[in-house]
Amino acid sequence: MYNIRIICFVCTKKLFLQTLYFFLKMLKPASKDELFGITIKEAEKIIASYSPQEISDKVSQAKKNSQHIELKEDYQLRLTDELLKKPFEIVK
Amino acid sequence: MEPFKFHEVYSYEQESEKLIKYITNCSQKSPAFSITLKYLQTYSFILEDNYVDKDYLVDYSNFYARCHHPYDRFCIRIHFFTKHNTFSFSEELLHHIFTNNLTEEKRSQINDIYLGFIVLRPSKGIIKTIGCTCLRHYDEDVERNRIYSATRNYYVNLYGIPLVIKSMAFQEQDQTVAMCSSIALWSAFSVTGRKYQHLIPSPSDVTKLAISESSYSRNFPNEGLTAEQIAVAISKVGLSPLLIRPKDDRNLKALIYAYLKAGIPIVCGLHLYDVLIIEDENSNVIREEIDVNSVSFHAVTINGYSFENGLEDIDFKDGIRFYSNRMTKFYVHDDQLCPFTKMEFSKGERKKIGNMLVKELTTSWLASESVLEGQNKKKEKKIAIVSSLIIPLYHKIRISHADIIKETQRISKNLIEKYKLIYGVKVEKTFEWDIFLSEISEFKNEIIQFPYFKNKELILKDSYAKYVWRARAIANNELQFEIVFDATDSKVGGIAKKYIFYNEVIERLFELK
Repeated sequence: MYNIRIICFVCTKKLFLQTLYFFLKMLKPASKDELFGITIKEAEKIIASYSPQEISDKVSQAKKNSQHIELKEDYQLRLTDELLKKPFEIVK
Repeated sequence: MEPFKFHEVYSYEQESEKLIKYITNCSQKSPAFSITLKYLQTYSFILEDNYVDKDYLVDYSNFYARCHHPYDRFCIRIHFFTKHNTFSFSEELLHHIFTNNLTEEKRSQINDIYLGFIVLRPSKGIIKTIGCTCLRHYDEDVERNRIYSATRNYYVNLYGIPLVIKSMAFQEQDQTVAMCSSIALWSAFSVTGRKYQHLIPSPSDVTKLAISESSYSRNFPNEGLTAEQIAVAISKVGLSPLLIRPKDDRNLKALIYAYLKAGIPIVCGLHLYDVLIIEDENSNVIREEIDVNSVSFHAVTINGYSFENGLEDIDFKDGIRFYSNRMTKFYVHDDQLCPFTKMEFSKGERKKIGNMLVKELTTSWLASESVLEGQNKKKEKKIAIVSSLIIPLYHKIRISHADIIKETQRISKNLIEKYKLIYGVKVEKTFEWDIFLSEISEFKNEIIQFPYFKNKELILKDSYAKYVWRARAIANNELQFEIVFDATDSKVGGIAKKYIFYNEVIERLFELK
């Protein structure tokens, strides 16, 4: 009888945890409030500590920095004339 | 070899060797077809004679009908079945079909075990050419992200039983009206034709369309199309050709993923090379070299990819990490091998070919010759280098993948800088970007499946362009936010875009002006 109770308890606990995990997983794309170690509460506190002018300065500084570090990579190369004019053939 | 009888059920286990020889005539295709049919767990097959194949009939009227040799008009179709528990396509079931009422349940069971068909086209002598073939692909796997997106449903009718198979049509080149390039394009058209509602030309019609603007080329016998001629054929069916030369393997993966995810097949130009294996006296491999003189220029159609055992991209100098860099292999229809052939990105170092340093793809191709003049040298396999991608696009898809990357790169950099300056935290690892093309219906279909999140209702009610580029930012293996770009827009004055936030920290940062 005691063993059955333990089994029932373990099974119920496992089922409960599985259900909880399932619901947490289901809710994944919903309210996430942490990123790179900062929670939304902490973020709000930091933002509140700045004056509007300071925020504006930091935003424009970020814009400047990102333009400065932007790299011009060529992601789409055109086919060379040789590749355009060369016929596909039977594999030797 | 005693010929197969028509309308009789054969056991694949007992007759596989004879069947593979019958279909492939002991060519390079033999091992590839043998592996595919074994993997699909083929249990039985049946041959249908006097089958009228539309594509062959058009090719027949375009060329074969006016030859002196009496080519047959009819084809043979072979249907393949697997086994589910005890249910299989057997002689008893065939007898039951012809003598009893076939219930809805039985029809559904037959459809469940159906693996597809191979058409054999008449040719000179006893050797046949593989015609329109629709075989089931390997199982898709969400965990490993193995997807065959450039496929569609094909509707088959066997003895009045309606059957459906999800595939991409495959066939072998006949070396007269169609070479590998015409076949690769025909396979691509078989999917885009249904997707974008255009006529699906037969292989000989594809060749005719392709060379319609080249006065110096003759129609048939065809000696292989060029990339330029393939682009002409794409334009003639009402689509817009996009021709790209991938810069490196990272760029190649990004391009394949971005367009294939939208279900768009890609015609891929390959350079195939023999690998020279150099051994010592005890037959231990000393090194492998690529035989530059053995190059062949071949065309295949890309229809799927896999991320199995793929690794996360690292921070490159372009400051953007691609989710697509986890890709480890992609699948192609290679008309000289078989449907859904695997091409795997090599794990080793980049190899030198001529003056280029490239990362090769391993293939199922065997080398052209195995015995060599020198001692301790042998050739066993071929490797491939992707030299061109030809993508048949719907004319309204105007913004390119490169434009989206540049825009995403700018937004990502700006966001990370903002994060550092305002929150005062150094970001060790930036976002991993999942960038792909999508139809708006697919985008909303995905959003509706999410449980509640802020603005879900607004997004579903909002109006978007028919085609959108999606750039999804991932951090800690979770989706943080995404940018939805209008793919039909002009890039002059900035591409129209909308943001969707799944993380409040990011959303708050975006609000700061």
